[in-house]
Amino acid sequence: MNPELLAYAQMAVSGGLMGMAYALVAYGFQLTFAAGKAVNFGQGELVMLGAFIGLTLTGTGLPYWASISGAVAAGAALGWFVEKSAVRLALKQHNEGWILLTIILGLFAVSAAENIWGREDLPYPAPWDDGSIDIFGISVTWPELAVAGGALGVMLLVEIAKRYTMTGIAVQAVSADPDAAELCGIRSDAATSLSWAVSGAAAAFAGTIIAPVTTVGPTMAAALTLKAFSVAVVAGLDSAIGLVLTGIFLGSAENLAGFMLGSGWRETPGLVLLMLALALRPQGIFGKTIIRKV
Amino acid sequence: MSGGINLGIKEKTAEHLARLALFCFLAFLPMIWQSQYALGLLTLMAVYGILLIGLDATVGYLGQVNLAQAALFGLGAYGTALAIQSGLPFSLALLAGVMAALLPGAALALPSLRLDGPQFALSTLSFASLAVIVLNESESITNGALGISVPRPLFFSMELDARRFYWFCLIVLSAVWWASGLLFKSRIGLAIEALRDSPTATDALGIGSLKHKAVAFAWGSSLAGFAGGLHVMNFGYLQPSAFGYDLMVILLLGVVFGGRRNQWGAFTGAAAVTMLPNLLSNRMMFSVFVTLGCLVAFTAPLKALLARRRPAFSESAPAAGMALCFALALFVPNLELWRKGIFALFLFSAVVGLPEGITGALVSEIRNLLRFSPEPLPAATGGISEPAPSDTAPLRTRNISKSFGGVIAVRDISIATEQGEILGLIGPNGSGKTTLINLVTGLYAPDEGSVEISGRRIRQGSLMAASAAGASRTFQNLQPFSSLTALESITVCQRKIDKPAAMALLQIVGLESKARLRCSELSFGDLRFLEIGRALATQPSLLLLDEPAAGMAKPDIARLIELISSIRDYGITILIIEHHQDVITEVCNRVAVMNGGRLIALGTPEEIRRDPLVVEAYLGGEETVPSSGDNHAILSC
Amino acid sequence: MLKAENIFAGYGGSNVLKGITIEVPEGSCVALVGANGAGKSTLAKTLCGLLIPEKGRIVFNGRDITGLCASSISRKGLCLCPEGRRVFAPLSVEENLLLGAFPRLPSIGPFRKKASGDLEKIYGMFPILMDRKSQQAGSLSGGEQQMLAIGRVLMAKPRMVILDEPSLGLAPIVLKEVFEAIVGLRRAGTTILLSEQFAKNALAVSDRAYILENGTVVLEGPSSELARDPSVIEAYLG
Repeated sequence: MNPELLAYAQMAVSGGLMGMAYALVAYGFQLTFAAGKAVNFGQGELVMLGAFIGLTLTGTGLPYWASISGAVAAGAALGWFVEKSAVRLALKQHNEGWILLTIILGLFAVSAAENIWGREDLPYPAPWDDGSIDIFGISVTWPELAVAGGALGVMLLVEIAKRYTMTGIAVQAVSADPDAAELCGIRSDAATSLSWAVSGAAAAFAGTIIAPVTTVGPTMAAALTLKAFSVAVVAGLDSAIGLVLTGIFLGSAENLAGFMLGSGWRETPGLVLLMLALALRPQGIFGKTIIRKV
Repeated sequence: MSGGINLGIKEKTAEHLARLALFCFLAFLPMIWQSQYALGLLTLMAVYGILLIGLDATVGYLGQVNLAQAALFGLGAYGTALAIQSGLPFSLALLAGVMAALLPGAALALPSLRLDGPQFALSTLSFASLAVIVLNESESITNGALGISVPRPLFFSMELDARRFYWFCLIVLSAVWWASGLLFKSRIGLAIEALRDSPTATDALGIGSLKHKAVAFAWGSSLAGFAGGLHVMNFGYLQPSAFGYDLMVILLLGVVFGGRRNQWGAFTGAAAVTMLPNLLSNRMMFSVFVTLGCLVAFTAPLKALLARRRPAFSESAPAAGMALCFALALFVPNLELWRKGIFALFLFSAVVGLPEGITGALVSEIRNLLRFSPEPLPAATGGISEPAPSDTAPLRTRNISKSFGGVIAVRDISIATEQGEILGLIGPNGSGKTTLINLVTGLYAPDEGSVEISGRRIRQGSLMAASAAGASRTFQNLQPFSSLTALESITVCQRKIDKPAAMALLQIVGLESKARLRCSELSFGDLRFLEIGRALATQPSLLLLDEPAAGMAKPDIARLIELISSIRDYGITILIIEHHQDVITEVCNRVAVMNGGRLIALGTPEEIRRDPLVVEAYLGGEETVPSSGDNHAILSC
Repeated sequence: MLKAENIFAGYGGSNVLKGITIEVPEGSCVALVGANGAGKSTLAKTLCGLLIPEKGRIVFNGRDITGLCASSISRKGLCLCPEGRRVFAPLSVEENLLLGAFPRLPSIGPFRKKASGDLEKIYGMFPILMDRKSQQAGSLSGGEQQMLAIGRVLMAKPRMVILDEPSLGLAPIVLKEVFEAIVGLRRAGTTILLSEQFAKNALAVSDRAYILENGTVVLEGPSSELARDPSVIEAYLG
């Protein structure tokens, strides 16, 4: 193959694999949006905290899987906390205060991370070797494969749980009609909290699988939230498959943009895509239209 | 309004005096506090004041979370800096700054204004990130991350030293303050507040939500650019990273902490934001400040505990936030490192505990302590205006249908009204009456068929078009402009503000004694009457009333019947949905009956009462109740 | 079985219900009749906990349930079949039915198996639901959705059912089926409170009735007597 073309393909593939991680974070938005029409503007900070907590747990000598489980549990607790402290009250009052409050909690998380773990970017050890495999001349590293596999795996797991457990069906019922769900004896508040916890867990897990590729630092959060939003808005807030496709597309697009225009421009495709999607089709490509009621 | 010391002056006058005193004090401050550093801070405070008054236009008045203000500020600063570099004079350089913010702001606003809530926040956030990237990467123009320095240009051949420049900023701030106050008290400002409370009603009454959103956003963006220009003249040095996420959070802190929808709030916020970094470097002052904050934050939950109830979240959360701040003040060696965290805690406590901000809380305290003379109300003249007589039917629908997700709400309805008649629309729950009105007023676009108002065919699904053609409506679920007064609710609906006529309308709907009350303080029944007043203020030829008597007490219903008949006497055609039979029989010339989305009968009230189809539709037919004897498998309990 | 005393309730500070007292004895069917906006649905919502009353007391099965949340009241056996059906549109018919039995099904594991007996009873009662069991509930017709809503309530094995406007927006032929189901329920001994805008139908299937007007009870008595009372028709049509 033409070496120049090969370089582009290489960029697109490794970007696409990373894009799966964006899809996973965006999936967290889908979960909470379905449960209560709110999303966490500090989701990127949960990713960052998940990565740091995983790193710390690995540092204490825990096996890899145990430290990841620890990070996921912490992420779930944090997601639950965000809902309780920032979202619940504001949503009941029908104002936009929750947007501010989730941003604020994210800011506090960054500040805390800076002071606990320092401002430097740290490497994150992974149990895989650094080697890569070659597919048609495109090399794919193990950590990159882990990102894609892990993201897909978690999304699949949650989707299965949503469809094939009574709890999952109940959570879907609450997002369809919270009052009617209450009438069936389902505690809507608890179901909403659960959605936020799962969303937080997904974010933390995303952190632990991204970090071996990108390193861990307090600043990894900011860009990530926007990228995940970009994926979520473009894909719409209904379809998980839409997220994966958009995530892959965005990941490749930004890698190619960085490659062609210079690394400073890396973030632009996501931002432009987000603004275009909001301007042209706010409900997303895979989303449904909304009816106004009076 | 009871108690308090009577000052004998109007609140507006008192506010003007207070503002004058504030600016005199600020102007004299450099004389007593003679240090370059202090002067720099004061100038920054004035610049931030302008910036936050601008941010308040969107975050406060429009009620949308705008995360682009810091970036617009940066764009304005770069615009001015580049203009100075290319040799433009002082005033043109500032103008360039305004343009540099306003034009991209407009590009952002046009698509974003259709959005609200989280989507608006997102689009502004991505715009902000994009702007910083562009500033950083366009190295040939902006010198990238290294930044640029520019000298302060001459002000009409006069050199401005730091103190003079401060005074100049103060003058600009006071002008901006005054202009903003004027703007938000004008009809445009009232419309902006109205659309925050109910965009649907704003459109349905022909006020227009989009254009007013655009005005608020444009005003905010221009001020951001202006402030940016002053900022670069103050500092002389610019770097893209200064206008990122951190600054944006600080600005939000300012507006929320100071108090929204109030220029005093924006100024207080600017002062707080300017002083806060210095507070962090002075441990003593910080401790005092945090202790005070704790005292304030702990009052509410302690009060609750004393009253033996569990403190609400909005009472306990700020206390927790401030307590955490207190802990940081005690244990953290270098507070500067926790800057963001401390900002976050302050902001959290303010958003949860002081939704009206510091000035909001102070203003309500002052209103408790002092009594001001009320603004005089205009004398009522004029009233309901008669529509021009015409031959065409005020309303004609041709075969309109509408379905939602497979359920047909309205099927194939053709109906025409005569000028000056009252047409009643009745039918069982869920028979499609409100959907019909929503189709007529353009809230929904019909799947099939067309709507004509006064002979004009209405563009599908456009509330504004229906309103422009002369249709005006009330809502079954009230859509009040909660933050406006009763009088303002009427004036905002007028094509041109005419206070005497608005007073006359209030008199007609029986609310003249409540003209100064905010809609949030009015009772349910009053709001129903006010909605009719609002609808009349648009000078309609066709008035659509959606269950005006719902939830009203008996005497009010009698008053309503009288009101509706008197409106007809002006030649206004009325379509009324109502369940109270007495309203229908007493006022309607004709009655249309709907059932299952269809029109099943049309005639005089007498005819309708005797129509067997109608009686059956209302009471249920005999044959629908099964006779005994069927056997079904039944779940036992 | 259910007793509500002097209930005041409403939305946003204004009271729609102005001191309503009703009683539903065990095993009976009581109707709430009144024009639109009389407060029937508000009362139904208040009784089952979707709305917290400003004043008054609600006693169910000898226990005070005033101020409890809807899910707790539902778990105590007082179940509302809400106005406008409110089926979970994106979920399948069978999932909707399973949700009715949510409190007694295992959250993970063989919940379908555990509920299969009850599901069969519902399918026996409404065979149409059997045919459509894997279809999305939102795609059902209005009448089918009403059957589903009633089936969902029955899955909870309630001690008492409140049916709020089961006839809302239904065609007369479908109405007949719905009322047949209500008669069937009643015959099986379920305690029923039926809120209904179609007075004749409601009076025909119930033992006692309360006529509501403007948030108060204006008339009460045995349904057969009220059905003959000309003032009922009058109050109804105004």
